[in-house]
Amino acid sequence: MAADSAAPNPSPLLICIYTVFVCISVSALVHAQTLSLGSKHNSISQLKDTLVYLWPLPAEYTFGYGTLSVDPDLSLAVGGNGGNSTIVRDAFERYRAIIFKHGPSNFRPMKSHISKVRVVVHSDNEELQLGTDESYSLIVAESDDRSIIAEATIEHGRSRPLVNQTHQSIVNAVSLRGLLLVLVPCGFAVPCYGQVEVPQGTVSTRQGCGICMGSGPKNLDTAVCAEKTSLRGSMEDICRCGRRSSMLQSEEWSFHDISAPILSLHADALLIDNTLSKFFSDVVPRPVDVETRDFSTSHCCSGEVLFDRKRNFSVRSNAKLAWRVILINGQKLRRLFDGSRMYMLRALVAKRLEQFKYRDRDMLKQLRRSRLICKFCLWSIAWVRELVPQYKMGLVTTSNGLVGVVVCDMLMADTSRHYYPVDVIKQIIESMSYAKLNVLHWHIIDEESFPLEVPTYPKLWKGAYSKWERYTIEDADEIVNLLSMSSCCQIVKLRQEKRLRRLRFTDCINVMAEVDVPGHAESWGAGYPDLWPSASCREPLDVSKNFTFDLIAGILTDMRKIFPFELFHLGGDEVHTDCWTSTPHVQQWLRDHNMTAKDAYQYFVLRAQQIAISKNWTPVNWEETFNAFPTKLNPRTVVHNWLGGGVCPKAVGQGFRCIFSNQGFWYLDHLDVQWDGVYNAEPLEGISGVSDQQLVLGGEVCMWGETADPSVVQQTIWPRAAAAAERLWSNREAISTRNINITALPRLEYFRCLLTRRGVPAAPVTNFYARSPPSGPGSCYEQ
Amino acid sequence: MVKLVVGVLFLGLVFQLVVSTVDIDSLNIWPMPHSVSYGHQVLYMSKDFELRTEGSKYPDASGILKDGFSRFLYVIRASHVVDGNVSDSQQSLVLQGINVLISSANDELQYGIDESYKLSIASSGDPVYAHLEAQTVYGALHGLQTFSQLCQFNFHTRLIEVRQTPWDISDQPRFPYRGLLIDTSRHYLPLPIIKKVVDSMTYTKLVDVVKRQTILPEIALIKENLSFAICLCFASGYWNFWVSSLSLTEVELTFSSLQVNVLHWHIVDSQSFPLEIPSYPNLWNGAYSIPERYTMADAAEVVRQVKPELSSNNFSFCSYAQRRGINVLAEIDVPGHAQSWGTGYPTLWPSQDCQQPLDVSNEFTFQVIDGILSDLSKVFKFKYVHLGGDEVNTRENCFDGDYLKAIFTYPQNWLTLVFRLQKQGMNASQGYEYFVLRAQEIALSHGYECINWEETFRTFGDKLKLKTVVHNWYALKILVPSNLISLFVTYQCGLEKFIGHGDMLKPCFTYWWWWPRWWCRLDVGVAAQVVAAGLRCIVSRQDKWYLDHLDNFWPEFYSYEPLTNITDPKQQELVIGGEVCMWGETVDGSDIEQTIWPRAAAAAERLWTPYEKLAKDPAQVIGRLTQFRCLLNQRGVAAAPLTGYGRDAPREPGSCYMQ
Repeated sequence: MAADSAAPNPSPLLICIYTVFVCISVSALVHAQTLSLGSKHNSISQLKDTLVYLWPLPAEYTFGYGTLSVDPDLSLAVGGNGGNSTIVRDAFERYRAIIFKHGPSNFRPMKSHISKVRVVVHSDNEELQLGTDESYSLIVAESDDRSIIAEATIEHGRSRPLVNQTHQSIVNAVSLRGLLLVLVPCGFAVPCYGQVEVPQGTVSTRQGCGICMGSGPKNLDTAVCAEKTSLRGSMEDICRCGRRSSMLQSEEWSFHDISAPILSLHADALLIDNTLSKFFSDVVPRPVDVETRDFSTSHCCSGEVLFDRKRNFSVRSNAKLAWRVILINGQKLRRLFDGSRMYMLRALVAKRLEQFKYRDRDMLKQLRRSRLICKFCLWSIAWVRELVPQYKMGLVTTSNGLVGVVVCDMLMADTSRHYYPVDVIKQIIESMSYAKLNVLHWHIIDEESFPLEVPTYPKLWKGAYSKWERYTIEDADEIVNLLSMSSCCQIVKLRQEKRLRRLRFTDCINVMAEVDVPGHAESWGAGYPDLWPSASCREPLDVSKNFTFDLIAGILTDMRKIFPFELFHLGGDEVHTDCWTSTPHVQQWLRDHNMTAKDAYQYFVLRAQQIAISKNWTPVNWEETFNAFPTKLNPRTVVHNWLGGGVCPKAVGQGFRCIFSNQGFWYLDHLDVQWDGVYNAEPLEGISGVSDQQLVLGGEVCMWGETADPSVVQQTIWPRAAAAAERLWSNREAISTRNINITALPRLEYFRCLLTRRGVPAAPVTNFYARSPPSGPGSCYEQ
Repeated sequence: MVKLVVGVLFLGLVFQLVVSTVDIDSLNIWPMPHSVSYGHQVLYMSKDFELRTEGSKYPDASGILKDGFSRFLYVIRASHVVDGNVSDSQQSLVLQGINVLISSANDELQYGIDESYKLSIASSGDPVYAHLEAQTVYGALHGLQTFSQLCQFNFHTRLIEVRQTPWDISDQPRFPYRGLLIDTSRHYLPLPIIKKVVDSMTYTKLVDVVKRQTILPEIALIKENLSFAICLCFASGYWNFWVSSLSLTEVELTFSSLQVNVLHWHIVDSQSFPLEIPSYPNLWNGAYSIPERYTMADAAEVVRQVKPELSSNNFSFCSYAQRRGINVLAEIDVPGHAQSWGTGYPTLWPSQDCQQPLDVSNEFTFQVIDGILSDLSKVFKFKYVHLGGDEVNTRENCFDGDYLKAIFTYPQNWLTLVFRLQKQGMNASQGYEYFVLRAQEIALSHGYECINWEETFRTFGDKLKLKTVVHNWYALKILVPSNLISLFVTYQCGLEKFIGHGDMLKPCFTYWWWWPRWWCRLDVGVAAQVVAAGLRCIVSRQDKWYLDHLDNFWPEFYSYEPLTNITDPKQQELVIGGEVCMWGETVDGSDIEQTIWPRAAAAAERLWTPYEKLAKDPAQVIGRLTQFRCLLNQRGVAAAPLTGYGRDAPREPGSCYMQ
């Protein structure tokens, strides 16, 4: 036990790293919105605006339209049993470095900014294995507490107590800091309407449609409101507040003016349909005479409003939508909403608009016409009512468990066809973590070369291309176990001391090694020619000699020391047995054992499987083994599909687990597969039963190395691997039901730009051939 | 058994071959040093390899040397786990550290600083130290780069070893200006990518970066349409039209050449204006989108030291390029290639319908240029600024109007412009000259010296200030009529001046026998004329040193000689260097590295190594360049294989050293 705790490996904790990533992306949301505003495609920009620019899509999420700035000196607070892990701390530091890599911009905090990230990890088990709970929930919210203005909270845990714990800890946060009001209305205000005191505060929008909020029914105190607003230092807000108060007093409830999603939740919780509509019917007809001002410091910058034709705000029918309400000059608003369907209206802060004045003239004209620019106030509401009963809440929640089936997102790299220097592999691993891929399938050895050192059989790596194109066992260990805490710390320290900017340790990525036997192993014989059936006929490995199996056992023994992942890939594909039948001594052996070549193939694969199992590995084999002798395979075998569709249904039908890599879609070296082909490939196609679906471990995109060396490998992988990553991570219904050109493509393009901003050379998304260059000058977001 | 033996022999032979091609019995330093001698001993790097600066006059207050040294330690490790132990008997073979002796205390990075160094590594001693002497810290950085190429990770001993000691290297660059141009206007290049490029530049001792934009596609179009234009010329008698398109084509064909210790940052162009200009805050409205921008602080981080208070807690906030000994040359291309400026300030456009070149008649234009240059001068401390001046298409109805188009489509605009110009007593070409010279004045007033593209020299070379550096890019086509009709056309159209005889004859514009046909020959470029006129020159000939021409193979980069046809030593000195240009039309963050490398490295050797030491036949250096390309890959730089077009993927599996 002591050993366990002393030698921690990659773990579920790490998944929280993702959450930091999501957090970052959330802050990027702001860009996304303004981006789409600036887009030249007016027709789709509205739709774009409803997208969440996160990749892959979280299982559940809600969002608002507030903007928070992030403090460069972001601090980390940890909680839970596993919160003290250095992995969390390292990951936090790394992601912070990524966000602020963009140089020393002069930090001008907005009225509220995130200065602290709170990470709660419930499990203290740090082991990284197949099926580790990777779920998390993330809340980025704003409060009105002035000392800590806003905070992001990340929850992670083994799934069962997630619900309660989430709730618990956030309520704690509220009570402790007066923060994170998000959940208060969700947790209390709704069931106990009008009874519970809501922590109070006042926020005013710059534009001046201040709305005051009291702390309970019937006790609106205008004076308090005014006083509170004045603390904010804006005279204009006070007068707005006062002006509106007469109207508000007639209501049972009053409202704080809302400038951020959290606070808006109060209103949302309170409104329960008619309150808000009543409020609006009162307020809206009165013109809000606010002139345009400099909104540069305002975080109340854009929003949306959803109305139906009767100007009802039908919260209930759109439980999953984030609610953004804008108060606009009433008459104009009414005219605008005299249409028949649900309208979606977007307003812009004037300043933003001005930036696009010459870009987007039509939109500007349109907006001017409706006089939206100068006169609006933003109110954003982010609340998912559906979530309330389950106490699962937060701006962004995701849980892989919901998808249930997909636990294994893989990327495969092939170092045999071309040698990838260690540095390049580390870059790949790091970029994988950006897309939440969690298994690197390392095809170390193939017929072309044998770059890995095997201490037990030191001549094996003579099969490398040259003496510089090799990996020592320590190199492999570093690649695989970078996560083990000791080395993490070392490397981080090293980096800080030596100011090495490019070296970063990897994320929580499992590495599955592959030793492909008996085919694809010609290079083994460079060191031990005995392994070839004969010098002229070198593949597959000689089945007749015990030495072959001794050597496999030796390799596996050595590898077991450095590959802790549960799965081990034994290949078994494309075995052409001609060499066995044409070489005399193998022929003789076959006759002696009364075997055909096919039997020998089966014998070889099964014996190799036994070796792997004896090393406590779960064998993975390519689908040929399953196709040839399904009944003989060890029941623990994981079948790795590649030839075509339909194999996984058959495999799970017989009780095997399966990994999906249909070469028509998920072979990245097929350059003519476009992103949508990759995106639409469904690992669960044709598998209906829930228990069957659980047998599909996930899928894997394969980067075979024949025509990819370090110069092109990254742009061949990205962005298509990201398309598959979303398929593997996100909820199937959420990403398959609508037109992906609208729901996914803009997000993927955005993600591609994010990758390039982080220095990962990801190719343009929509080119016909993968990895081809952009076709002409233009913005990254529109390539 | 026999088969087996033969097989083993054969295999052994194969390996022998592989190993011998790869083995470093010869020199594997890129670019080749000025003078070098070596032996056959092997030394091992100590685990605590240390930097000693005793006797050095350089205080290293800004940490440039220390930083360079830690980067050196990082790259020689190449991410391997170095955990071998040296046996006791070999303790005397351990290289304990390096003595660096710098004789100048000044670490200002400027054009023309002394970049020479002397590196010597004795094969024995007690203890053994390497010695590096340099005039400036930047020479010392080059010395460390060379040293890093002598180090190899040994897979058996798990140690880093230095082979072929004793080494004695004395080195200095051939040209003071060795540039690489990057273009952030056609595609936005994120900062990490720019930094990666800067990093990889140091490996080849290139030291300048330029950024800029062009209208090359349009020109290419015209080139293809030339015959069509000739046809028009006969049919409709639009002589003017015909001549103008020919001369344009010609301009395009004439320019081409390039080098690496300057990053020439072509920041803005017609397509976008990504840089923040505090004096004129609306200018960067011309960026593609909000995230695709650089703040001035970003630029400063790339170029220079920024906020000192930040540099203490994060090393990345220290100047990036300067720490690597790389100058950054900013380019503001006026008056052409500046359409994006008007997004923020529409009055810079001559009119809404005709958006470039910049409005010469508007005083505001020059105020903006002045504001930009004054902002830039706070950040870009390099002695030069690039003012562009290329491809100013005044005929395209802006300065004086394309007759047909302007008159029939936008009569008012055309009239207004002509009127405005005439009011100032200028025609279009005078307007161009006036603009460029005035922009030069402004740059001088901010303490810059100017670099201009060669069109300025071709159009009004005698008016340019003597301090101007002319940047060559064009390869002029010399035409040789090959049939009677083309001869007739040539004289009818006044093309005599392009006629010549040459050795590099290629047929061009071939259609039918009766069609006017010419043989073409590429001119050697404008460099000789420039230096003859007493101006300085940078070469970047486009058919040799443009990296975006994917069909320029590495031997062309290697074998192009900047001093072609310049024999007078005084004139040779006026060629301050060259530059390889990475235009951004089809290059963004996803493919910039493999488009630049390894071809830019080939040009880098041309610019660094003395002429006598350069291979006359590029084939002689292929092994060394392959080795260097693999070294780049090891260091995480995505350098493409040498075979095939620029940035091609490898065709088949194989060793890096064989591709």
